[in-house]
Amino acid sequence: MGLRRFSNWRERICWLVLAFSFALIFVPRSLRIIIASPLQTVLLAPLRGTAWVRQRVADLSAENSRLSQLATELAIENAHLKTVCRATELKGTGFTDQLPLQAIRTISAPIISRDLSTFERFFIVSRGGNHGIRPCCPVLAPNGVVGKVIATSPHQSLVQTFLDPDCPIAVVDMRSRAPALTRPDRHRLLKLDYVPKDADIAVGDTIVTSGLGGIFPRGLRVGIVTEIPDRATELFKTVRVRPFVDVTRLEQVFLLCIADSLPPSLSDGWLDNLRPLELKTPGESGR
Amino acid sequence: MRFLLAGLYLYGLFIVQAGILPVGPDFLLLALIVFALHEEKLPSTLLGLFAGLCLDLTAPSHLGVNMFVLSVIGYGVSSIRPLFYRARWHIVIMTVVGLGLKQTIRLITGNGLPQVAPLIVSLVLTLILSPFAEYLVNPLFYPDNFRWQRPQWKSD
Repeated sequence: MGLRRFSNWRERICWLVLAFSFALIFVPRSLRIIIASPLQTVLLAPLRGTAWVRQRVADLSAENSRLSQLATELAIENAHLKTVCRATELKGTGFTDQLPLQAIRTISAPIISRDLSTFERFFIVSRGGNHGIRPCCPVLAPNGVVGKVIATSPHQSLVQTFLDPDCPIAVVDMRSRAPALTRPDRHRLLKLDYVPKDADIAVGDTIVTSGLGGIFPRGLRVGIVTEIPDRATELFKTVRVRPFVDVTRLEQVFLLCIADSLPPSLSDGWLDNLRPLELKTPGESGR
Repeated sequence: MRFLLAGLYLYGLFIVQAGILPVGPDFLLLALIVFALHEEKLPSTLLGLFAGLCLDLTAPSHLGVNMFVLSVIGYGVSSIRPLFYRARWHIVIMTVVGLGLKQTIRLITGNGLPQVAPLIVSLVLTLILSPFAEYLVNPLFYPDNFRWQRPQWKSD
């Protein structure tokens, strides 16, 4: 029986192959490496290509993250400079103050969860109190304002976006300085509330934060005016704004940590609205 | 020709397994078992040798271990296939035996011992996928022996 098994040449080759591979196990390691190296060059070339692509993607991802942070920091600096320029134009004085950016720290935070009902009103990021984040920290993307932090735990924060009806943002028209409040509509756009009928707002105007809410610094980009329907029966002007940030597609945001005690040397007034109020307006309990 | 294409297919699976899903199911083992269920002993053994060679090249100091194990599996499955009908549960049994053999020989030779957690994940995923291993190979190589199975409802 056993000898008949080897009578077939195919069977013999099979056993030769098995014997060869079994013998290879007992070959000294250094010799095995020498045998494998030419085969490795040929057969593992696609694997090296895959590894190169993965490394490249990781590098690009890291670079993208760094550039996003840089863009956000530049957006903040831009908001500050525009405010200062406007103040300089109004006062007719030279620009003497140093940039107050040392009072602001941007922390990049990946989004790790979203609200399951709308996907756009709230999300959770993986940075929290241990990273210096507190409720009411502004949340930005490189394109503009996203929302604010409303609750923190040691390692995570809950962010309320501008698409939540309970998160109005005090804004102004960057050209005419007409003030308003944002309110989300059903199509992921924003409407401006309390815009007087005679306000000078035109399609294409950029809407930026006014700083009156006490949460966002002045001058951060919010959106662009897309439509101003003429409705004679309404008390206020209807203004539709397309936000610069698409909240549903965000994967990473930047949280602005503003120092507890702002240095008194910031006399350009850019961050003055973030200082605690010392007086209250009549009929208001203050913040 | 089919033998060469089978070798290329195994090589593609090796690229996926080693490059994209390093901690994933053992596609090579599953495909080899299905090939061995349809092919003669010699092609099955050679396919096993080639698949093992690909795996061994990722750790050349262990050259020979996977070659031997997969050759034995290819030869063994091809030898015992006349004993039973090709059903998916038989593939599961062969996968269990194959995985056991592979790890046992690795353990005995002391070569290429993997870490425990990835090993368990890989074993579990391989076993979960083993009933569907035919879908990996048959539609491309043996369409005559393959039919998409629909659930059969009992008629009253």
